[in-house]
Amino acid sequence: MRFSSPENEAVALAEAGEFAPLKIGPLAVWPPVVLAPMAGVTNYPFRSLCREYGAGLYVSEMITARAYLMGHRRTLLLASSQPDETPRSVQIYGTDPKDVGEMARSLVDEGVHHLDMNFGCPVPKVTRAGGGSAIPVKPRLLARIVRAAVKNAGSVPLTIKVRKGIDDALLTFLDAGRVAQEEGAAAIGLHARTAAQLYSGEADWNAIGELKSRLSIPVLGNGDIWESFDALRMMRATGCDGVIVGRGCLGRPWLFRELAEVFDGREPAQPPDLGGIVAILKDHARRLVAFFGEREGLLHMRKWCAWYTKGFPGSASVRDSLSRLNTFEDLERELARLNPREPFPRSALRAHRAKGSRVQTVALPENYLCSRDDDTPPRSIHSSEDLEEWERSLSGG
Amino acid sequence: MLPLFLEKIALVGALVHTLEPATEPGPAAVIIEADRIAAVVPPGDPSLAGLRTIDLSGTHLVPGLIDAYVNFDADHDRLYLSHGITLVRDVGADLTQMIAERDSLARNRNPGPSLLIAGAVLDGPNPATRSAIVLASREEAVDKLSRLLELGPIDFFSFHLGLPEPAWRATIEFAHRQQRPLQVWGPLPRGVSLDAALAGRQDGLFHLDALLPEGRTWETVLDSELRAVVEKLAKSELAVTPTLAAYAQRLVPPRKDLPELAYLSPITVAQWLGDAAQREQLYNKSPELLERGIKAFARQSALVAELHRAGVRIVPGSAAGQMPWLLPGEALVNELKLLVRAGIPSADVLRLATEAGARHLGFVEQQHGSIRAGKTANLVALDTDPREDLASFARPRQVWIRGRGIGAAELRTLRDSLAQRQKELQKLSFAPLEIASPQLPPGELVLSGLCETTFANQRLRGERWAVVRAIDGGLYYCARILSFGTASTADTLVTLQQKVLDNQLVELKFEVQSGPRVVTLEGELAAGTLNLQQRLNGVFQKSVRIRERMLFLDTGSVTADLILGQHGRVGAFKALFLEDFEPAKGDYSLSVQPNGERWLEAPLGKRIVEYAVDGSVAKVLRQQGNGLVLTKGLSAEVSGEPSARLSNPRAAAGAADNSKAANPAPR
Ligand SMILES: Cc1cc2nc3c(=O)[nH]c(=O)nc-3n(C[C@H](O)[C@H](O)[C@H](O)COP(=O)(O)O)c2cc1C
Repeated sequence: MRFSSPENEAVALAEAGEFAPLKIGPLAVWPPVVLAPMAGVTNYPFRSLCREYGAGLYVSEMITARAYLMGHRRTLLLASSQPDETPRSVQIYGTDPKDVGEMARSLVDEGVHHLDMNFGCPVPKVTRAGGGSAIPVKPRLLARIVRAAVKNAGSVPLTIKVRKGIDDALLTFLDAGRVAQEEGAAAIGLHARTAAQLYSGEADWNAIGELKSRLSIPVLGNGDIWESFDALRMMRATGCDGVIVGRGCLGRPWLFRELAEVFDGREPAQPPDLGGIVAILKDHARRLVAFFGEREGLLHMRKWCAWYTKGFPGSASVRDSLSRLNTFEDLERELARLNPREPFPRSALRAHRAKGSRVQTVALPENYLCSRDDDTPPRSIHSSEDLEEWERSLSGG
Repeated sequence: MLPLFLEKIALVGALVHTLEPATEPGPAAVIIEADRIAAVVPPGDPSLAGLRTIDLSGTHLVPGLIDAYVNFDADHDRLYLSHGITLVRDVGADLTQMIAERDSLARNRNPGPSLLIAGAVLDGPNPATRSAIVLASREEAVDKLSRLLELGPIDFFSFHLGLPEPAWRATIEFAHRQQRPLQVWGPLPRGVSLDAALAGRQDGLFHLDALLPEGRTWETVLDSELRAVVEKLAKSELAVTPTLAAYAQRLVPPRKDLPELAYLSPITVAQWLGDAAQREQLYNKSPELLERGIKAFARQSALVAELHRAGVRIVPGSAAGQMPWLLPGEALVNELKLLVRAGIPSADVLRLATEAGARHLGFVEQQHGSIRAGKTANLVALDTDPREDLASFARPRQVWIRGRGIGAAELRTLRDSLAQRQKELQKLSFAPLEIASPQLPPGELVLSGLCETTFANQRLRGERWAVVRAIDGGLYYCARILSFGTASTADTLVTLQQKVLDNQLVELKFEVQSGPRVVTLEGELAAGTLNLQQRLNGVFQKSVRIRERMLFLDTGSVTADLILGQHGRVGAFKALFLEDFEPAKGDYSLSVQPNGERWLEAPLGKRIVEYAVDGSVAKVLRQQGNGLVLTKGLSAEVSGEPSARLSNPRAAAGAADNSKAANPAPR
């Protein structure tokens, strides 16, 4: 019997030829699935893990152009990859066309295959400075930034990722779509929520359909793909060309295997039980430690442990100590206390991971709405101290 | 890139040549933390426990090389790193660009070798290069050098031979007096003998020619004279950068099909090929020149070996970027090989280009030159022992630059993408120019057009311009100028608007985006004074008041030439030009040829301007180095009422000879 939540029980598997590979410039991505850029999450260790389960395009977390250009070590690390990763995809965050262009150029020189740009970040610190999801409010500024990126990316395809808008009263995605298409972006991804919504409520897939109907470049739908069948439903409902999967894969990298299966018309295998998950978790921990070093790698591991064990009734007792990990031995000792035969709980399929159900009033710069036609980039960071603080405050889009 | 680490890492397994005095190469581990060397410890040392390691077994780990003489170009960064060069010393270029580049953050961008800068080169009146700082006198030297140091960190001073003797003396005194004493390097200034240079305590000499006694050539100089020079230098602290490779490259036919040319900018390649053609002609005509060059080179080599034996400080430098056919990176490795061939042992040469080099460059040794805790982590892993073979620097296994490791494969990728960019640039030079029209002030548009400026057939910039007649009868000359970037630098955009009334500049708006800076210069004539305000990134910097009559602002924009065609009068006049974005008053002198050409003497060099009958500029020729910069009118369009049109500068030519300008106006 299919292991899914009720709404997906009757969803038909993909028919042969029903969906086409996602075309992003010269890249043909099959299945048409993209791992969402997620700050603190989609670093090389996690991307490499996901890749072993499935196929698709796996995007780095957002990399701030200024920090990258100033040679900030951690930023360079987060932007980095290994030769086994193809295609290699990096998400750029920047508000200054010059910086963004320079960063695109430098990444292309390093051999990157795909570039994405984040215009959906709702973090107050970002929007208050006129960045992130505030940029599409000024279509001419958006155009300048995208133009600079596309120009410097040369033959490497560049896509952009946006939200629906600031809030329901200020929707920007249709303008952003037009700009993306006019300025030569290879595709646009839409997280079908407003910045005010953050991650709460349900994503508005209708908006994805509306955007798709207006554009000739590929549209990527994003929001609330928790199960592989959700991807089929989204593509059928909206006509979008591919999906971006975010929180659904946190602690569930096998979601990419399931996605590959349903797009190939096969019923997905059962999810692993807790024993299987512990093995994946350790593998993930080893990758993080190899990449970040033990201290930092295990710090990262704390949140992953919560995601991997989410919804397992028997894991409650160890979850607390897992959130205080310091060494690999700590990790092994705590994991040994779990019951390996506990099956994956159906209720965990759609349990929200990372980010709560808060909403916000989006902070914009003063008088921002009075000059929507303006194309002056907001001031960007210049000193190393500002940069440190900036990097600390980010948690993505 | 090799993996980047946030924590300490240890490079293990290599035979480490620390180049520290009185130490022999031996097995050791080098611990790197961020961009520094944290420690050098024996293999298996307890401090290595728990550290991540990079295995360099079978390699020789040495400090990165120093190239003490280059002309910086960001395009060359990857070529230096590809040859194990981790520190280059630029001998003077565009001041602001160099100050911005020296910043190690800027260096990490692509990434490139660490950089020492002289800022701009120092010179006397009639400087040899445009970007030189002119020090005419002692007073001017002290004044301008103090201001230079305020602009940003300068690592040493470098001068051309036109620097007047008193200014040269003042420069050395000033440099040595600094809290962190700076060295002064150059050739011998005109009229200063080697003895005087030694007595005056100049720190370093570029090129061996400076050592020839007055009136001697490499053919006529006597062995005894050279011996005397060696003895003198041996008693001094003067350092010499011989540039043998620069002499040697003149003696072999240029390799016109060299694959490495693909890494160079189209302009550089055009210049090099031009040089090759000239040289071929010269040697065909006078084959004995080659013969003589070869003999001279033998003596130069012998002299360098003597200098070394006598203990004179030799600091290897390539002159890459300055002379044709010296490939950045490769040229220094060649220089090292030539030093070996001259008779200096490999191990000594390695030391000259690392530890001793850093020491002889002054404070540089605190950061560079050897593998020691606290120094910058600039290292090279080689497959062969550099004491026996320096050639392997041309293909290092790994290069560590400020703690960031780059492997051979990554270096290759970086070079390939550089070649790719150069190829694209070359194509771009022939693509149609796309420049938006400048913003127009109120008035009637009378003439507009497009022109391009090329050098060695490569497009340097394009300019869209327009002339608008204002209600008061004055003429606005407006332009947007797009200067094309290189493989490593972005395009820059300049917007300019100058208004001329009664043959005088009465209003000016100028904006340039250069690197991270936006400089604007704006102002109007009021009560006979032109009040200009200078802003940097929108922030007011200062005002400049100009009381004399100026005809235009001369920035390389064709608007100045358009103005010249309408309002220029034979003889001397004054106009503004920019010295590092600072407005300066310049003396100009105009003559008109019978064929209508204007010949203009300007502070930044001579030029010849040809006009079309509609008043547009057909052609401007300027000399730059040994090439010609050509501005060509691509299109021009006359509009508006016939009565408002510009006058015909060609018709005015004859009249101008009789001092009857077409637009007579009181002076
Ligand atoms: C922890 C986290 C970090 C994120 N960081 C980024 C980011 O760096 N760049 C970006 O464009 N979006 C970022 N996002 C937004 C996601 O890419 C995605 O648009 C959002 O989670 C909606 O998709 P989902 O419903 O599948 O999770 C982040 C989301 C989360 C949960």
